Amino acid sequence: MTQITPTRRQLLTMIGHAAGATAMYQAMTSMGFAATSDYTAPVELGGAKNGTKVVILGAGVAGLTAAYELRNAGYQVKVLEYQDRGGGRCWTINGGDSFTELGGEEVTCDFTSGYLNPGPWRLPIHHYAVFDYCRKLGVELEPFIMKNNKAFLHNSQAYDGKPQRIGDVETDIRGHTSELLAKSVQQGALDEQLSLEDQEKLLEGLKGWGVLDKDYRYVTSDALGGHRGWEVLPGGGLMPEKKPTSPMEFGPLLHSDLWQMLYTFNDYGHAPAMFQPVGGMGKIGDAFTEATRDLIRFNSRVFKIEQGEDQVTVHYEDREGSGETYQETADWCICTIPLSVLAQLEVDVSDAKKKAIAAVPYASAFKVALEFKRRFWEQDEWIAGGISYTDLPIVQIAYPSYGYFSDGPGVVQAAYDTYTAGKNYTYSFNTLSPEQRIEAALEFGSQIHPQYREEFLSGTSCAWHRVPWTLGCYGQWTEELRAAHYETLNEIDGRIVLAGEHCSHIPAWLEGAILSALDAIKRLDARENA
Amino acid sequence: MRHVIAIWAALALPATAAHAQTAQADVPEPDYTINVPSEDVDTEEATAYQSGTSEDAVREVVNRFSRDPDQFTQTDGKALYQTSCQACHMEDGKGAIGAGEYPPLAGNAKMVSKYYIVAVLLTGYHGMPRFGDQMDDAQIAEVSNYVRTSFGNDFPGTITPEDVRDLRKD
Repeated sequence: MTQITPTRRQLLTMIGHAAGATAMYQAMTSMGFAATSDYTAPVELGGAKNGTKVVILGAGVAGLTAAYELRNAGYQVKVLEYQDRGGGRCWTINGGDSFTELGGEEVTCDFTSGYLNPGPWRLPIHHYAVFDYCRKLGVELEPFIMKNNKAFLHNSQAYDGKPQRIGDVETDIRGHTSELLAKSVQQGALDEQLSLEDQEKLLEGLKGWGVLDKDYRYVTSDALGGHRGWEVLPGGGLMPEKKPTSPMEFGPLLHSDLWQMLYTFNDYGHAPAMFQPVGGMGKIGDAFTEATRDLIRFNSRVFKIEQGEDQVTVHYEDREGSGETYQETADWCICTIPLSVLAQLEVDVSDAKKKAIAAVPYASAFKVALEFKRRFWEQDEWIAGGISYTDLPIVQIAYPSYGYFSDGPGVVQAAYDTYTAGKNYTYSFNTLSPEQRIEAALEFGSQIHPQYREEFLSGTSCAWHRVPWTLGCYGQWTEELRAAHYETLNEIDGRIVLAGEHCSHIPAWLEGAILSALDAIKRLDARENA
Repeated sequence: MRHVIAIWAALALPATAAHAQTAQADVPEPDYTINVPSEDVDTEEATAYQSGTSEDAVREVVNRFSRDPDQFTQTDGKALYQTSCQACHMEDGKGAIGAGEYPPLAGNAKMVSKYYIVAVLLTGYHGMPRFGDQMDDAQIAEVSNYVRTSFGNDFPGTITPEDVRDLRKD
């Protein structure tokens, strides 16, 4: 077939190269194939003609979303899954669980009071598709506390390594910058930008916004106590007189870098209110698995995908028995195998598609959870839920958003980061043995909570590059990679289409996996009914 | 992040004998302050886990990490390997096999060309992320030479920082 004009993809790639991914995405929108990415309503499919068969590779959330919807639309569906469980990375490690990592070490979990979500762990409100499936599948949700003003920001090189409360840092930064802005206005520094009327409005607003006094100063006062908190809280009866806290000085606060750690709290993807399934994120994976269990063949390792004019054949090995190999032939194949694995399989697709599959590195990520004898973060420090951030390699400590103020043990997510943040600690955590990861979490964490060693019971972890079925955590796209490969990766190639978080603009999130699956099945169904 | 390194350097504890061997004069090897339970920890309160943890073991773990999250601060090839490559290629360089595999570095004939591993480190390969942004030319050279001469490997030729710099330009 000769091309005399560029294909849409070539055109878009040119735009991508010349003007960046954003411009390309805008162009895609105007060309009609990225019109909306929102989930607005359940998917509507035309349905299967004459028992059309679809083989789905991977029983993660993308694969099982496709299985669930395609079966409802009358397709014959079979799912092949490498593991002996469904849900993929939507997974919770509970007490009694264990698994063998790459490298042969055993990760165990002896928790009695909580769990670790190694992968996704919180849901932002605009992930509409996830919530809709939770409703449909009966997954009970509860609030996830993302921001807790009582939690800490910690820089081991500032304030003698003493953690500061999030609320203090935020109130003080707002107060000091408000005072500074008010001064600038009063000294006429903004006369060119603002009319006199604007300036009056701004000054008036800054007073409340920054909690400034009548002279626009950010200083200790009862009014500030009402915003920033009290050294002596207002009490009852003949209890001592209330006493407000005092602001931290502006200079040291600026240099502490602590206020930059507020960044994540201001991110749209982490804005309150967030939610989590009761009992762990794995409940979503479990619910999808229960809804489609009769379609899934577990312990099946795919090693080859062949296709012809109107059929696709998947070759796989039974991981349980004598390693016998089998074939599954279908009209369509939806492949959700992580690219880190797929790039190593024999897959009969175009060279461009092969290149796209091989182009995306898999992000490094780690988590460690620790169980303690008592919930000292609540009892001693009044931190119930939320996240503390630190410059140390553990990066953050997330307190459980369940079981508040109960007696007995509690589980903290004691270390977590992904390479999206670009810190090399993710690589280093993945080099440690399971025991060493716990040691690292204990050692660094005890700089923030000195109770750690005394109260420690047991720990568990996940180093995603040691997970045998993903070889990494998620597709680590860059703008350049997207411009070069994203559309190719998502195009239907003969009888094969890919899906998963790696085929979305929301990598690593459940919403990305679901939207990708819905988009893939809509396109297949359109072909089916063309 | 440069200023952070300076602070780390200023505050670094004296290096232990173990890593004094590899420490360079200009860049400190990682040396986090550690806070392990001392001998006189109340044994009734100490868990089995704690009592099994020696100070050296804790030091080994915390010093696995770089001082700068944006750029590895280790300079020695082995230390660099142990804080990055080892995650997938394992301590013995033999790689691992799951649904896919991490290729072994031990006896890997692709490394006959001394430039192969440098190119892979600079650009990444398949699921493997690139390390060119986290290691400078000297570090890439050190870790490449380490891999080519460890795990039973004895590939001829030495990679210099200049070799790495030239490959970065390609």
